[in-house]
Amino acid sequence: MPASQPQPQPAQTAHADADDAADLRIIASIKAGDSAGWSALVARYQDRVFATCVRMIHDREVAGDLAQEAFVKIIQGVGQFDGRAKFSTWVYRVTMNVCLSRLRSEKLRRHASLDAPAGGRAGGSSRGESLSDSGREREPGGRASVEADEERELVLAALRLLEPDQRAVLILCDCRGLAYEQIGEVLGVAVGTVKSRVFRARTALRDAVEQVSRERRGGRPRNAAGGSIG
Amino acid sequence: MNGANPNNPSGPVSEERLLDWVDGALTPEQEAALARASGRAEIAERIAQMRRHKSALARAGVVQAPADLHDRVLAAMERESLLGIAGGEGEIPRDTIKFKAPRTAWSSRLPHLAMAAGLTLLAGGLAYFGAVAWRAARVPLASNSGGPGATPGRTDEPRLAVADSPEATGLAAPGEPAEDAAAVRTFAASESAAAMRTPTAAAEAEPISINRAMELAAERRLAIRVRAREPDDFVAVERAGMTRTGDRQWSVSRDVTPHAASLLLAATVGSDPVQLPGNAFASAVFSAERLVAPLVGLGAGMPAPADARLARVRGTYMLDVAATERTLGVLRDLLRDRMQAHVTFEELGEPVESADQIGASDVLWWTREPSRWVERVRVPVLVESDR
Repeated sequence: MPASQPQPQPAQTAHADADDAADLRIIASIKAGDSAGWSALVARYQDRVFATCVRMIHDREVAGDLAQEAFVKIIQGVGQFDGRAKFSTWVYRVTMNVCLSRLRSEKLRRHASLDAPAGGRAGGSSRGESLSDSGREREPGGRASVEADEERELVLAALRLLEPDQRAVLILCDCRGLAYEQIGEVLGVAVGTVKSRVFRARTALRDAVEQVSRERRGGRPRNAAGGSIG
Repeated sequence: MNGANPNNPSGPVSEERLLDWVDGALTPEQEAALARASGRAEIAERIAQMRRHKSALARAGVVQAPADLHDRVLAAMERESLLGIAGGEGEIPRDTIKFKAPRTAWSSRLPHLAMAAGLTLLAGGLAYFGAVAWRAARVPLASNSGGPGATPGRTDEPRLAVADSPEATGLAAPGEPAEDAAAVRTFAASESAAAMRTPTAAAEAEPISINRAMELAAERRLAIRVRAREPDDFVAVERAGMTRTGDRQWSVSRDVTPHAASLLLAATVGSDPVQLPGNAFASAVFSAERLVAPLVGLGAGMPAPADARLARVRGTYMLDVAATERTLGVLRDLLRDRMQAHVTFEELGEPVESADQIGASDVLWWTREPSRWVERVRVPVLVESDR
């Protein structure tokens, strides 16, 4: 069976080892009661954790709150980290759990509310609508860059229409570049299940992109979860 | 997963194989075989779409965290550590303490003996307080001493004396050191002032804002009053505060100077600062007398409102805290929430004397942990019961 993801090169392995060593130093520092370790941990992971939250929730304010909540859980739970997985994997696991819990409670709240708008997004709020328009995320460049930006914006809009579980696998796989084995550890499922979920999420995303394109040409939005290759 | 295609000699068309195609893990020959096996002409185009979406998401993966996230997390951790403390962290779990002793004939009688001793004490106490109450009822109130119905000959009693001269009050005995006499005189004057104030005057005063509290802290004139139904809950805070762990922004000790204690107690009775003899022993005597007086009868001459307030005092502490509005605010809110307490900032009549001694770490400040780089202030805390 062919490798489903490119194998890491020696330089990447060395870099990963250095990363792991840095993580272990931070963990030891926190376990020893040195709160400077908190600061080091946040500085090291804040962009990754925040990016995960913001892609899951599509609202920078809420994502900031969730990232903060995730960090508190991570720091408080460092003592429970047993080292069987990579620390970064564990960080993503905690972060993703926080985001999914939030999305589930949002969903419950929407169901409980008689005023809930029909066909709403799977998460987030109107405050995050212009997320991808923020200057920080726009790359400088010419027409190619503008087209790339447009496509990215389209894909991000479609991503919002996916179910949280599908969104999670795509974010971990594509946005964060985790290997399928790592995604399995984050989500607590087998690698085969991860691959199946990733492919179905890609199919759903493709359908959602088409839906958003149609919608922008003058159509009505609908939930795009599911879909097929055909 | 999709099932195998029996018409395809190169292998089944499964989601896993298609995912390999998207990931670029197949050779062109394998891709062509898979396309043929799927029987769909547009499949290559759809796989190409998925690849574009994949790279678009990869580009969207870089997002810079807000500038304040780091500080917010650290503040939240500080708050969480305080919550853990207020919740009783560090206390010995009750189920780990086990008393196991063989029951003997003697030990079986212990409960009865304890009960008998308790009853004896109760009876003695009731008799004593009855006697004190009877005696107090016979003495006229101070406010009546100069009134139209005042009993002649009673005005020379020490408890009624609020006059300026010690001789007139009878508080200064012949040969008593002038300094102590002056202290007692000031005390008596302040007590009478307290007696004249309504007990709710302090409660009706404008609450001190955090900004004002910071100014007072800088002037060493800030105090914190914690009034709780269960003031003993402060013990957990005290215990944790005495243990220096990590980067905590505060610590608490019982190292309250006599001067600070007198200021706190004066604030409690709502008087001007009490001039106490400047040594700890005298202060201790003062505190003990003031607190125990209503019980043992020595305070028969003390105004009732002041005694009532002092009787509620459960302890005085010294808080060493980072001089930031955030830390003060967090501490106040946490004490309020966790102890169900009424927490107020109070202004002291004069600055608390500094008991700090400059050490090497004060000079070499960068050798301390980062939280100690912030200027710190010492704030006396008074814990009292609201009952």
